[in-house]
Amino acid sequence: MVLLGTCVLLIWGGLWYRAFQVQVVRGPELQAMAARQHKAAEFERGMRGEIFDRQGRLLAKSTGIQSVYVRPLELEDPEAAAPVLAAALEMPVSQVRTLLGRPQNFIWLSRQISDRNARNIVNAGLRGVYLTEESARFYPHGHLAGQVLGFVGLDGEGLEGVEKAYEEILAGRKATFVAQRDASGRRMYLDAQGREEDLRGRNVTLTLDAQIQFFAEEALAASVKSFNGKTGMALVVHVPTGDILAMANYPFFNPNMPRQNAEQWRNRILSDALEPGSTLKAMLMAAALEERVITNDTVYYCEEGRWRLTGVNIRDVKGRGWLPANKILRYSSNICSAKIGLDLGATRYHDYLRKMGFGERSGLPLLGENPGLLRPPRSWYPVDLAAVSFGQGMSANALQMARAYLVLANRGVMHPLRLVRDPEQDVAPISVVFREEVARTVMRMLQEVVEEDGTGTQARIPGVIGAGKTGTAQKATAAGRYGDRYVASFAGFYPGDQPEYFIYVVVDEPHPQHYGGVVAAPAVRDIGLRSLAYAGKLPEGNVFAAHDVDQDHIQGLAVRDLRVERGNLDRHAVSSDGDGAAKEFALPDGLPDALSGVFELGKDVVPNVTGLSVRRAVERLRGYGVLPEVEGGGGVVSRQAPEPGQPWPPQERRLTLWLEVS
Amino acid sequence: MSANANASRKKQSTGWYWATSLLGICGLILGLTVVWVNIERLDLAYELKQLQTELERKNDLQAKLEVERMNLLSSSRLRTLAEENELRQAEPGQIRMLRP
Repeated sequence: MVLLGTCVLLIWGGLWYRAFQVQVVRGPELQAMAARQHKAAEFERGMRGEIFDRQGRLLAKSTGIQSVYVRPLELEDPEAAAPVLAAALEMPVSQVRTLLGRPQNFIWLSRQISDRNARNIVNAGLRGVYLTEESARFYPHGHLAGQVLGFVGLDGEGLEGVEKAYEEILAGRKATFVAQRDASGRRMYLDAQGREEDLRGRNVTLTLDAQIQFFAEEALAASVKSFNGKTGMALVVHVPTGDILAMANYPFFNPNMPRQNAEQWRNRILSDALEPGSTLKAMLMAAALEERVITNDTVYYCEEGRWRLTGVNIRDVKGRGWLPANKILRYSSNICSAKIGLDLGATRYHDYLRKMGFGERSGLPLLGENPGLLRPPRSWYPVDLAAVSFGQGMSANALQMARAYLVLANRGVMHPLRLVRDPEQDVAPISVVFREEVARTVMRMLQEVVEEDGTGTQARIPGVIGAGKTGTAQKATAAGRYGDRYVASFAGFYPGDQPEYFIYVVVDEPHPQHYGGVVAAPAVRDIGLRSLAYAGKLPEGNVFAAHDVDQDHIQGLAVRDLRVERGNLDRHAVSSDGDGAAKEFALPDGLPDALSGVFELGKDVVPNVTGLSVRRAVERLRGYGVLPEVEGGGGVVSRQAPEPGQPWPPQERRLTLWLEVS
Repeated sequence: MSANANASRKKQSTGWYWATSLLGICGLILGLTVVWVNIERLDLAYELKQLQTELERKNDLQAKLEVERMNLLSSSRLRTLAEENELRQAEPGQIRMLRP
């Protein structure tokens, strides 16, 4: 009995000793061994954030996609497997054989394959061939805004454009979890263990509007193709907010296939600084008006189109004599602009160009912006100052041009441009550059460029006042001389009197036509027209084109209910620089259906005085208690703002009439 | 006196037997429960992993469908369809806005 008891005690004691040894002495070591056997580290990377346009349209999205890899040592018969894999992946057999022949333990056979190919691989059931899930980036609109969006690499990191600039925000975060696995190595869900943390990258919302971007790309492509240009760019900005609505580059770049059109991924709007040409004259006018070097009525002699300044010839397209300031801009005289620049002086002009943002980056959160070239004024000789006055001898990118034009449209106040709505983009504070009346004066001059017999008549939209400036810059050769290659551009506003959209189109090296008013202005018009229609801001009145409608028929129209006299209502066809453009007639007569019996003409809505003599128009308007502002020279009212049929401005009844020679 | 003491000792030892047996049974039940709970937990872990995989698959599919939908609704595709159906862009004067 004692012996038995002793044995039990010894066994019991031995068990306790062993338990103590296992649990306490070797406990941590054994625990670690067990953990290695039953648990495995699992790496997880959150999905990359999405990119949206301002309307919430999806521009870029990541999704899981299969990639296929091979462990050659596990392959039973590589020779037999090669044609099967090639058929499953739709690859050449020779390529698969080459890949399988590599002396490696792990070979990527094909990455980011389609679901159908992945299914083919599963159905093939080959040993040593594995599928693994990776993340792939898709751009559902194809090449739309391709250069702006940029693209990601195979491992999902942003390499260009918004994808690169916002890498930190868009990229999903990495995390390591502990997963339990069974004897055969299958992973099991252990517990949340930090999975409650959201690893997904944040979304980015741009200010771009995919629809307007599409308009811009279509019009730009048409312009570059029609005029045999090398490249082109188009920029659309919402004037009141500075939001960039479209940023188009041609040739297009499809970020879904970055390696197939690698040479096109550069966003030229950011990276190309070109000599702006005559589009810069608007800035010169504003600076000269601000410094009171000129007024609207100051006249300059344009030397009949040829002028020699310190041994350098300066030419105008068409020889002209004395011109007032507004007509210098309207006809885009280089000679008179040079004279204004010389009167203004290098330092003052340079200061204003700096204030408008030339020579410095625009502040957009994209990488690789070219700040352009604006040499210090002390290095400017008179001929340099003359050249910069008409936009040669300095360079600027499209964003800088947009920023400068927005100063004019925003009553002399400089607002920053914005490309990203969410997360909030860091923007520079606003600053005042010009007096309000200076900005208004230049804007009126820009309206004349389009609405009168200026160089920009091809940018006219019937029923909408346009404003803008043409640019035709000579390109410098590698030797530093100006050759026979040009950059055609047009900077326009719609509507010209209350700008909503700023549109800038540049076509590089068009030929044989190379004038901005011919090459770029129609593209600006097209973008403006479609953008206004898209926004529901086109006037609804009937608008006739001269070639469609017989003038007699127009004159014969009568709007009896509203007692509008139509005797002289036809608008005169105005030709610009012999280009045969601008033969539109606008008859905003949508009133009868919409407003008959509801509004009283003149009291509630703006009457139509176009086509009347100045005296009759002023008499009629005085009858409604309105004293109009008169612009231009001539005896007949060619255009009015607000348009006929529009309600009067709420605060003050103001009407502007543009005159032309009858 | 001694008979009473013997009876009391006997009672005490019976109580110990009962208590030990009860504890043993409880231990056994608890042990079995732990094993059962662990088996259930593993089953659930497999099931959850499957559901997780299924969820990821469906999320991926939804993402792909969304991309496809946006591709079908893209302006360039609508433009192509419009041209195929002989629709063209409205000119100024052809647009009427309907306001409520």
